[in-house]
Amino acid sequence: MRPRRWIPGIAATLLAALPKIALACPFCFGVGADGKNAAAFAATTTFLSALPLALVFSLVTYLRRRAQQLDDADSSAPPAP
Amino acid sequence: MTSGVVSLDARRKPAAGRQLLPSAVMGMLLFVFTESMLFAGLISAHAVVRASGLPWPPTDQPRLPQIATLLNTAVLLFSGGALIIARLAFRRRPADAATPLLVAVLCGAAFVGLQGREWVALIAHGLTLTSSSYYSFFYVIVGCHAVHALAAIVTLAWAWRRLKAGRLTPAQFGAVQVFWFFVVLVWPVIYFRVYL
Repeated sequence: MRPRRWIPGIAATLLAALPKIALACPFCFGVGADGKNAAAFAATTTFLSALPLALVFSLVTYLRRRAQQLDDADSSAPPAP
Repeated sequence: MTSGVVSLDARRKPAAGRQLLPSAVMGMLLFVFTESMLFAGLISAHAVVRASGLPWPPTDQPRLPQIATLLNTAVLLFSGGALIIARLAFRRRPADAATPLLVAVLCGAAFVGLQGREWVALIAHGLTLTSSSYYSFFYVIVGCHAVHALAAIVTLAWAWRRLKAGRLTPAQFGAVQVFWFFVVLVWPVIYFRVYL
């Protein structure tokens, strides 16, 4: 399929229309804000985003390993009469 | 040829009849996941406010008792260790798990009792939920943990009673363990973030 010529133009227009940083966040840009506070925000945001993914991933990994163990146990068991 | 295929199929149990985890343990795990997010949110809020440049702790207010709480932390970790011993004993012979399980219950109760004593002393000094952000976070986070610890101790005691009566199933014991290990493991994080 041939790429359409107008797609880069639309993309450039959308990028140009993106808003600038509003400097409205009191923690990041407010009076007395320093790097420590913004770093705490970034770190906790990352932590809160990663934690549920890590929990779900570890549970799924455990269940997969458990299923594999059961499969192995089944295949090594003597055939049913 | 055909008989070989049949015998291979006969060895496999139908997938629907298999349970990877007992329902009680799975339910408790999902509950613990949601509670993990609750504590993660509280600890994150604490970290952000702490980094906001306020004097931490407030200059006119005392620090939290670190050494006494460290000893109390050791009591809680010991309780977790006792539960591990109970778990191993339960696999060998369920009746052998009764004593370590009782030790876990008593150590857990001692932890909550010592925490309660600490709270009474702080409140007697006039340090309450509204004294400062420092103490607001302390009471909310530690109080939330104490509620979980109390609930987990009740479930441990329930498991002990059922074990003594010979009616505790591995699934029930597994679910109770998940809850108590969560309470034990989340505490050191709280201690390092809130007390130090």
